[in-house]
Amino acid sequence: MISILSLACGVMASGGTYLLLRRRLFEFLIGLTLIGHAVNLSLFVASTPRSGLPSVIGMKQDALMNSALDPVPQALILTAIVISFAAVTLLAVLFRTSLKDAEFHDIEDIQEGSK
Amino acid sequence: MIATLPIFFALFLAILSFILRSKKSGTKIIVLGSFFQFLLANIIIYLVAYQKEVLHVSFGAWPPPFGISFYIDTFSGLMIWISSLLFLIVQIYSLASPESSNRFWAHNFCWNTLAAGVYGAFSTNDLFNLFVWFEVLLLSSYVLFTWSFTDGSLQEENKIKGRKGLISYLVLNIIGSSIFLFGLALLYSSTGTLNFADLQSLKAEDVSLVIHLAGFCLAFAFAMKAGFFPLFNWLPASYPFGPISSVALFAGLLTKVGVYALIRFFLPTSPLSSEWILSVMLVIANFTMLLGVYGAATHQSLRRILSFHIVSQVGYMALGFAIGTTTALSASIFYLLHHMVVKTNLFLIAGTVSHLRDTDELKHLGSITKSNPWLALAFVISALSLAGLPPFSGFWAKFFILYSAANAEVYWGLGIGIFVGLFTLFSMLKIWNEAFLKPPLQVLTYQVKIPRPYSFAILVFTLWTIGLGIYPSMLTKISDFAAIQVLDTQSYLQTLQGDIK
Repeated sequence: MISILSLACGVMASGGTYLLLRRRLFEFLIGLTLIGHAVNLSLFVASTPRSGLPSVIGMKQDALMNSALDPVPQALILTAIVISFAAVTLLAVLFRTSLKDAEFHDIEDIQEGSK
Repeated sequence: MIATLPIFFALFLAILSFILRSKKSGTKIIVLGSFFQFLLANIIIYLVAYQKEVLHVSFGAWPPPFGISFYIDTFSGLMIWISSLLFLIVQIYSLASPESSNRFWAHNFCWNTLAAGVYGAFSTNDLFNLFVWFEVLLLSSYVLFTWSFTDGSLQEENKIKGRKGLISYLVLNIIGSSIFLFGLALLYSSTGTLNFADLQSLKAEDVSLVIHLAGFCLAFAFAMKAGFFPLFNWLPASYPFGPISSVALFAGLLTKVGVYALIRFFLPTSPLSSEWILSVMLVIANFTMLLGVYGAATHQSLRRILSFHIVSQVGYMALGFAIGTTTALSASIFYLLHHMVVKTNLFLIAGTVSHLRDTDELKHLGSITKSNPWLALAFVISALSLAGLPPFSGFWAKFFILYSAANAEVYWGLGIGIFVGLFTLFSMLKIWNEAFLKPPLQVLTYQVKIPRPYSFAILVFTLWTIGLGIYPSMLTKISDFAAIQVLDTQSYLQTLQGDIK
């Protein structure tokens, strides 16, 4: 399970890096989202999901079962998702206004300030 | 309890600026609030530096390995104090700058959330919490940046450059945050904790390769935010085009938050740190100093030159950190306190110059000594201080850093430090000749009157530089004590584990 997740993490990170190197604004956005997801997945891998039991303390128990998932990384992922979503949304708005005002799609066009 | 007050007060001010958005006196109340924030920071610095207390709190009464804890010692206290001073004074400056013409309440809102992020980053003891505060301050800074696109203070060509700069600032910082988070994932998977006190108490034989890798990821992310050598390109790309009051504040604060995090979490005793991180950092520090000042020497616009100087000055702090002795750390802390004020002041002066002449290209400027002699004097004082000449604070800051480099027998750092100081002076002379001294190419009609908030802000910062230059021991004692306290892992652990009982 861990090896599959790690592999998925690596594939997403490399795909994101590839898209970032394309230097097109829209692909930047997708690439950053992919990298964000790869990192979130790596946080999930940190919780060592061996059994997959939910991390909930039952009615008659007073402690978490040993085989349950570690709840901390899930809390961390939740926070990280919200933050990266906010940052990517802000970037999307910035790209949108850039496209509308100056009609450029490529980072090179911005450099020349033309088109 | 008092450890959380700066953050809550800043968030309260942010909400207050939303509530008072349609009131005429709203802005004045917010500035008054920032003044109270500064008074609060004074109480904190009195408690930590003179009463030798350590302010700490664990949220929800969860003991340290489980809950998030805040920990304010003298180093954090000093940083909170100096940043609250910067927030107050630069906010007064922004009352007259172009940003105030367009939705100023929203500007004040982001200003105060930025403050909350900065105070949080300075006081937290938990690495994930540090990540969250970094994001709070970065998101606020992205939004503050966009003011220059809407308030009409930029020309059309600079608007496009500014947008490109902002895009690179955003993209690189998002990548940096991802790397930071990846480091945290590695750290958590191998140690099961992100609390720094808990990490400090790891035994040396438990420190595995994964922890070193995590340490590398974190150092990379901090170095990127601090603007160290291979990763500083976002800084001169974006800073020359942002709104002047925000950029002056970022120049003083944001890169230094990265330096603070490096000093705090990569001490020689920290499990994240290792021999090779410090020796790599030494090389990086030298390159940062050199390339920053080289960039400054080749550019021809006031704010661009100053942006490159941020990079080269951060190199000095990195040098002090990389040497790692108590005197070197104390020198780095002193350097932070000197540099934050002087750099902000230089940016404020550059903003005033572009307010007077509508441009900051050196070739279009000239003869400010004639029209505004006091502004010229303030520039001379700050510029000489930045270059490290004797009667001002920069001399002592550079002297302490280079003295500790000589003591630790890091002669490369010593030589490059002196050389870079010389080049800093050279590029400051370039600004002086071009912008202040030479007669302008064509006779322009320009403004002479400097708005009162501008003069006030510049006056306060200039007096700080002179005062610290004449009487440096008012801070050296505190910074020595702060460095000893930062390196004293035992009492740090005792304080935090005292909470458990």
